[in-house]
Amino acid sequence: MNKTGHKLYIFVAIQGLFVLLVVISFFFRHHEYVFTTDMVYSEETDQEGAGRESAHFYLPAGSYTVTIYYSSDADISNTCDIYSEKLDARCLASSGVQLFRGLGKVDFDIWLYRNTDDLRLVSEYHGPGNLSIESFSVAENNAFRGMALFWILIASLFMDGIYLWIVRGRFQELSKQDRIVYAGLAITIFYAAYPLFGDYILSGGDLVYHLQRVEGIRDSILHGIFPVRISPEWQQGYGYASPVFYGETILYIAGLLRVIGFDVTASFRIFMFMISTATVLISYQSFRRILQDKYGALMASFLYSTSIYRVYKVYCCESWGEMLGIMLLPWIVYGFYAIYTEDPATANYRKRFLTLSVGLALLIQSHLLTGEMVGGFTVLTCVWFWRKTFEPRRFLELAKSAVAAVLLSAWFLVPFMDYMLTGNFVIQNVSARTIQYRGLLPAHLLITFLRNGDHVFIDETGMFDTAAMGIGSVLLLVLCWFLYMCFFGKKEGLSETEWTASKLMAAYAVMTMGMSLAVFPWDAIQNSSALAATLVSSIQFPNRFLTIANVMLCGLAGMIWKHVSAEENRKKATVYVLLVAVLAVAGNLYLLEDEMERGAAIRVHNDEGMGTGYISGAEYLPYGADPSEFMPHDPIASGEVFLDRYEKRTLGASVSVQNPGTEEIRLAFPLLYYKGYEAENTDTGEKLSVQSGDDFTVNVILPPHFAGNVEVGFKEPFYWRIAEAVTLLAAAGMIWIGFRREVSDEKRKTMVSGK
Amino acid sequence: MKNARQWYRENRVQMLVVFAAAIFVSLPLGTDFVNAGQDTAASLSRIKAVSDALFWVFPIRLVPLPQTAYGYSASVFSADLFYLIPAILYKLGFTIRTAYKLTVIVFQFITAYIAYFVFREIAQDRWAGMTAGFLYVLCPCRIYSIYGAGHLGEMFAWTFLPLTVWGMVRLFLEKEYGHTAGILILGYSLVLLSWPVTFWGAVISFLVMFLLTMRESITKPMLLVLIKFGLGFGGINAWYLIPMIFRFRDASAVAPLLTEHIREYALYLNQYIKIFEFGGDRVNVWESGLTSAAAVSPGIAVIAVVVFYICNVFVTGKQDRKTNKLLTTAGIMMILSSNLVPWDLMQNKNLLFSIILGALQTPAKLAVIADILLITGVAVVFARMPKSAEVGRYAGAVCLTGFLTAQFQVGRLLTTKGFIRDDQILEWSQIGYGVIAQESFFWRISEVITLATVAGIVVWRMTGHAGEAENGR
Repeated sequence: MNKTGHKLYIFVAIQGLFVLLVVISFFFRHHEYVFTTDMVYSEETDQEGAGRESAHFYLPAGSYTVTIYYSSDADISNTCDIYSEKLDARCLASSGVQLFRGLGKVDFDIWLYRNTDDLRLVSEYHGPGNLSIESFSVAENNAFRGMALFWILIASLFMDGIYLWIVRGRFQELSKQDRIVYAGLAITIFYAAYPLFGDYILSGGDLVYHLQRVEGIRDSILHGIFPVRISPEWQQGYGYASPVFYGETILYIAGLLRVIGFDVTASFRIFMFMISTATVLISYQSFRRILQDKYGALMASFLYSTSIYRVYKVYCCESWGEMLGIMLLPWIVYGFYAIYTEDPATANYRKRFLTLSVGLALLIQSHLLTGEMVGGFTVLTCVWFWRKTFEPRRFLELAKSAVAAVLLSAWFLVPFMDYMLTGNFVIQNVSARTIQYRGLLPAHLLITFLRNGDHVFIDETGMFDTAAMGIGSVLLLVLCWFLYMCFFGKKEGLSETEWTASKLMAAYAVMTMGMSLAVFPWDAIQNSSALAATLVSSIQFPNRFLTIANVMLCGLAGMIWKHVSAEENRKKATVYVLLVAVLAVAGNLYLLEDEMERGAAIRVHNDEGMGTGYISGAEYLPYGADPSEFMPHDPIASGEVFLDRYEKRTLGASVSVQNPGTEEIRLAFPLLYYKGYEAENTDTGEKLSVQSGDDFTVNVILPPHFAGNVEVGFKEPFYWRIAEAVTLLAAAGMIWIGFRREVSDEKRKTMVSGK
Repeated sequence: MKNARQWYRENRVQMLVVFAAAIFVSLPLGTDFVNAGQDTAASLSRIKAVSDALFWVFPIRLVPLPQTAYGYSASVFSADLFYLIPAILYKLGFTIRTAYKLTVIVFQFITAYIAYFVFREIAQDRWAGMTAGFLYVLCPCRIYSIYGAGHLGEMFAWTFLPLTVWGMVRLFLEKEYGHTAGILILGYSLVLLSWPVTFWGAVISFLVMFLLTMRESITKPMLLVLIKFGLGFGGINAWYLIPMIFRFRDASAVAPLLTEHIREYALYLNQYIKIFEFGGDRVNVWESGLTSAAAVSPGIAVIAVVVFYICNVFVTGKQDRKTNKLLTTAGIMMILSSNLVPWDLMQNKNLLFSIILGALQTPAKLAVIADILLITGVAVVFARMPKSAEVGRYAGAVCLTGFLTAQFQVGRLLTTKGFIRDDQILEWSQIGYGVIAQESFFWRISEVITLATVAGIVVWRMTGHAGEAENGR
């Protein structure tokens, strides 16, 4: 073995040793400390905002779960937290916990980065009624170890990768162009993730909602529930079926980071960095394959990843669904481009459906609205190129893409359709909501220095402090440049296919920019039919169409680069690059920095600190439910029953119950009713009827003279499980197809003819 | 005289450009008010106090005040030497506003001259010196010091900082020992007498560069320069240093010991690469992240050149030792100024740590040093470029970028920042610094040491001993 091999083995062995040490530490005894305290508040003696604290105590650095035993007469208003005067907030990460009267015990996690001896439990009283904190315990958990393991593995992989890359001479083999592109991609990744390099989260409209989705994944996985259908702790433990309606496939990464042990802010930042990096790399790869030009792809990727629309959606609004849609769109565009432009006779053409179907499937499972728009433009594209569409081979690939996307999404689509067809939810009752008044003014599309404004309802506030809803002047420049090319018939450097694609890109961009405006007759379309009403209303904001304009114009920017760089006169290319660079800085990067300048910084550590009540537009509630009523409580019976040993569980509960009467009794549990809840008398195995109560809680019907232990819980219908199996099989099949070698038609003919 | 004329003839175009930057950056003074920064009250009051003490006590030393509401600079035991200029102007009958503004204008031009001269010497290239000088004068962090914070002491320090870098570069990177001790003594003394917080930052950068180049630079002539520097610097500044050392027995008597957690005042690294400075003045970035954060960056033009250099190394493999060392030192200073360093471990531990933290005031102050090192790096990068017309275009683009970003920042400062007019200026200059009139025996001794050292150096220079020994030639 050569020296390099030895070094590598030693290197890997050291890394393995570190991993082993951390893994062993998981089995060490976890310390637990129990403290008694005497913090009693009453309305008579204490004013709102009164606070008390426990005696100081010492803890070594580590991660802990604090459990508080208390009694409270109020919901939410009273709080507890761990505090230290000596440590700054970076060294003690805790967001505290809210107390509920229906619970006698709550727990929350803290991350302590320094040994300290002045920790104390601090409670704050806001009434009404009495509050008494009786005791609390602090138990070590595995979060620190999980985080250490994660970083060791990441660092090891990174270092090994770099080491092998250099040792095997790959770095030296890189051409100058590749090196420039890599450097450019590094800068692009940096700017795409620019606001993530603080140690906080920039607050945005939908942030808490998406963080709750991640918490739902974490809570479910920690309780052995997979896949997640109802986020169990949402709405004070009543549960919320957001995952059924709003796919969370990619969000599992963030959920896993929480499971590993990262706090909410850290997992948010790591996840968002991953998505930003993926957006840059996916857009670069997609545009590179479309353009067959690395510099053009780099330019398109930079413009796309730092685009006004992406910055607005990702950092100003924290619209994660659209953020994922933006990540996937170039992939889908490339999928269509490949199917329509490649020669069906080439090897691997039959695999072309893979890219498109995976892109579409992930889009469906991430953001249905973007999927809706892509669907519309897919139909339009198929009609536009109807000759090509109906070429047998191409049509087959398109059909395969659609079918494969549906199969890959079966695990999501079946529950979604099940609820949509059998239930009655808020989202099914919003078709009267019009959107035209939310459209943009033409001026929005012409502004260079868009700022992180607060207002999105143009009809109320006009352009005053308007949110950054636009495309920015750099993409306008691209469009104008292309119009100039069309007007003067300049298309040097572009093939016929590329020229056609450019025209299509420009057309779709103009069309969607028009559709984003308030002058577009959305109201008329909405009033035309029930289906149109539902579809139009679900769009919510016409500016969402700019996501299509965005990807199209960025691709077009790359096409124009290809054209100007092919011309003999390099001056034009220089002018183009300079203009693009200046306008990208003036528009895109200005908005990024303005967002950092004006955005509110928040730090959430444990999920209890942000509460569990926020459900945004409440679209996935059963129609008529009032979420403000959802507070923890013991089961409530419609008649006289005897209850004992009540225990609230994750998406379920158990209670020993006796109905001495001669009539049926409804026993209401603090769980929001969704199809799938079941109840059983565990003493006899008898199934009990479960219904939705008037307040939409889970009601178990107790027969007369019933006595036994009732367990109620959520269980997926069998056909959801079948759908999950279909998805798994489809994924396995596609992986198999992806790795199978294909031969071209020409070769196949040769093989058949035996030559 | 002939040499001076020759120098002027050779450098007039470049000087004109850098002076244009100084004129531009003085634009906020063309108003009938003074920007109300967090240190403005302390600056104005120091002028008033020094002016009041003129002719009845010398040297004038002001008693630091509690930090409360007067800004962070209020509680620093500072030499206040350059406050004599506005104080004398005020004594002569100018209003405090005019005295303040005239001082700022004069120092803008001195800064421009020193910056161009030093960067040109370091780069050995006029155009590179001009580019770096231009960027230095328009440095967002410097603009913030002057107009955002209203910190006159720090502005004086910015003027003389290039001299300290020049001395370091000569000593550690160029191994030029002739006159180096003199440059170091001059640079560090002027910075110390301007603003001690900046001085301690400069000392740290000196140590960092020394450690980075130690293996190759420790030679007998270098040690000789170091000894001369130490003795000369200590002697000249004894009148201020010795009292300061005595006061260090109670660190809080020299500088504000932040009662809050010091790490909250350290920077995020991405503050260095900000393109648009919005005129914010928050220094505790923990509270609100980068919302309205004070400018600390050297400007995106500087960062762009540094990134270009790094990318060029990645693409072509061509490196330059001098640039590498300068940028590495700058990088270390950037990290030291950031919240990546666990500064909290030093807080409330012992007297030594308290002295260090008190002297530094906040880690963020190290950004000043990181910025000048980055700008020096830019000068060297330009000097190393192959001479062609394209280099001129690059320099033009970099200067234009620096100008536009400074334009943006100055515009924001003028249009969004609070201001005070004459009646309020009088109010703001009344925070009442005490003057130390009754000096102890040791303080008097320290003044004698300073006088003796100055006299010794003058005699030594006049007898023509200076160059020979230092050169080692």
